[in-house]
Amino acid sequence: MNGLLVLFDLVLLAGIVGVAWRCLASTDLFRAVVLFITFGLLLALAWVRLEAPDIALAEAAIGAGITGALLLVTLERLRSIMAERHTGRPHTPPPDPTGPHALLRALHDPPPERRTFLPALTFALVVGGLLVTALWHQPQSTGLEPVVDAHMDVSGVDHPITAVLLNFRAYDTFLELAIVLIALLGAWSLGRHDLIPARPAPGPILPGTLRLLVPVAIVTGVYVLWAGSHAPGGAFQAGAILGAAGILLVLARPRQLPMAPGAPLRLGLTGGVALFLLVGLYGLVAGHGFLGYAEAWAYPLIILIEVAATLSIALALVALFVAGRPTGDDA
Amino acid sequence: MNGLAETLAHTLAPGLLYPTAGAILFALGLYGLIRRHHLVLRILALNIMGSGVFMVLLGVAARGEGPPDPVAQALTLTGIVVAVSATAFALALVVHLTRLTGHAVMLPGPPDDDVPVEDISRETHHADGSPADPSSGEDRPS
Amino acid sequence: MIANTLTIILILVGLVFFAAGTAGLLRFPDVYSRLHALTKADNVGLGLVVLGLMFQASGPADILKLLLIWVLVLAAGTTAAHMVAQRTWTHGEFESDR
Repeated sequence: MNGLLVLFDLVLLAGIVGVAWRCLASTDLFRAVVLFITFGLLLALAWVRLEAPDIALAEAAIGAGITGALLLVTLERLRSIMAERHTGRPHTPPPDPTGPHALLRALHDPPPERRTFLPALTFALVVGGLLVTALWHQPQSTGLEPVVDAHMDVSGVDHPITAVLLNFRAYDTFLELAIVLIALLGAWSLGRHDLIPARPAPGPILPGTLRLLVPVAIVTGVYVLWAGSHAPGGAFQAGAILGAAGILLVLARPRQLPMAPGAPLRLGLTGGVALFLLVGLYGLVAGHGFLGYAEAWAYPLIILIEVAATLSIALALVALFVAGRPTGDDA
Repeated sequence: MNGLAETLAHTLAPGLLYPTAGAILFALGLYGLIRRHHLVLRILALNIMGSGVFMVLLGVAARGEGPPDPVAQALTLTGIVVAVSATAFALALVVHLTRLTGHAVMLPGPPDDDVPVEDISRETHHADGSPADPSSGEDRPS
Repeated sequence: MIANTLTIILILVGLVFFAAGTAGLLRFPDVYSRLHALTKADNVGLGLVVLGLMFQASGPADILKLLLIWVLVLAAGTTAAHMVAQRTWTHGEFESDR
C-alpha cells in the first residue's frame, strides 16, 4: 500500500472515465473515435497496473490499434457514401471540409434530446449502483490461480495464460476463433468490398517507411508468438501485430494491391479453427477427451495451433478492415 | 483513527478500486448507449461497457496476495478479440445500412419529407406506431 | 545506486519534455505548430525515458529491445506527422478541429 501508487491509480482511473465520458458526449464522430483510441491506450496502462501484461499488449494492439483503424475507415466510408448520395455521382472523393456544411453532418450526431436525460440517468445510476454494491460485498476468494499453478507441469508451456488459453480452457479459444470467422462471414455476406476511400499520401515517405516497418512487424509478430510459451505474448497479440502490418499495406496502396487469391485466403482464414478442431477430435479419439492433449505432445500441438491461429487472426483482421467479399472471386 | 486509515487503505486497494471504476464505465457506456442516436456512437458505447466488464474481471483477478488469476486474464484476452470481431461486423452493418437508407442514425419519430423514398426506417416507424416527435425530426442529417 | 539515480533523473527530464509537448498540443493554434510541439518533444522525451530505463535492463537483449522501441516510435511518429501535415496542406484544416 503505497500513497504514490494510490494517487497514480486515482489519476489514471479519473482519466479513463473522463475520456470515456468526453467520447460519448461528443457530437463530432471523428473526435469521438480519436477519444476512443486514447481510451484504449489508457486502458492498456491500467492493465499493466493490474499485473496483466498480456492483456495490455492485446488492448494496445487490438483494442486501440485495430479497432481504431476499423472505426476511422468506417467514418471515411460513411462520408463517402453521404457525398455520393448528395451529389448523385458515383465515386465522389470525400468532400472538401470547406465545402457545404450538409455533407459533414453525416459525421455529426446532434446532442441527445432533453427528455431522455432523466430516464437514462436513473437507469444507469441504478445499474451502476447495484454493480458497485455487488462488487464491494463479494466474498474473498483466491480464484483459480492455485489450481492453474498446480497443473502447470502437465500443460506443456511455462506461461500460465497460454496454458489456460490453449490447454485448460481450449474450448474458449476454439469458439473464439470460430466467432472471428463468423464475424468475417457476416461482413462478407453483405456484398463485395469496395475500394477503401482513403487516399494514400503522395510521396515516398509512407511507402518507404512501410518497406522498413513491415519486415520488423513480421519479425516482432513471430517473436511475440514464440515468446507466448514462457512470457507474456501469444497467438492473439502476434495475430494483431501481423494484422496491423497487413492493414498498413492495404492503406498505403489501396488500388495497386494484387488481388487476394481466393482459395489460399479462405484456407488461411479457416486454418486456425480447422486445425484446432482436428486436434480436438484426435484428442477425443485417442482418449484424452475433446481438445485434450497427451502430455508429451502438448507443447508441439499448442505451438502448431498457435501458428495457425495467428495466421487466421491476422488474415481475418485485414479482411474485416477491407470488409466485403474479395472481388473477382465467385467460388 | 487507525480504523479509518485501515478502511481507507482497504477501499483504495487496486482489487476494489478498479472493479468500482469498471462498474462506473459500464454504467457510463449504458447511459451513452441509451442517449446517443448515431450507430457508430452506440457501438463505441457498447465497447466502453465491455471495457468496464474487462476492468471488473481483471481487478477482481488482481485481488489477494499472490500472482493474479490467469483464468480471468485469459477470459479477458478472449473477450477483447471477440469484441473487435463483433465491432467490425457491426460497423460493416452500419456502412451497409447507410448505403441503403442514407443515414446511420436511429431516431425516434418519423423521418423528414426530404428523406429518399427507399428509406426503410419510415416503414419501421409506422409499423411499430411510435408517436411523432417533431423536435427530434429536425436534427436528422439529410 | 548510481544507476537508480541516473534512471530517476533521466525519466524526470523526459517527463518534462512530455509535459511541454502536451502543453503545446493543447495550446498551439493550428495543426502545424501542434505537430511541431508534439513530435519534437515526444521524441526527445521518449528517448530520455528509454535511456533511463536502459540502466535498469538486465542484459544487452533488453537494452536492444528498448532501443528498438524508441527507433520504431521515431519512424512511426515521423511518418504520421508527415501524413497529418500533408493532409492539412492539401485539404485545409478539419472544420471540426476546433
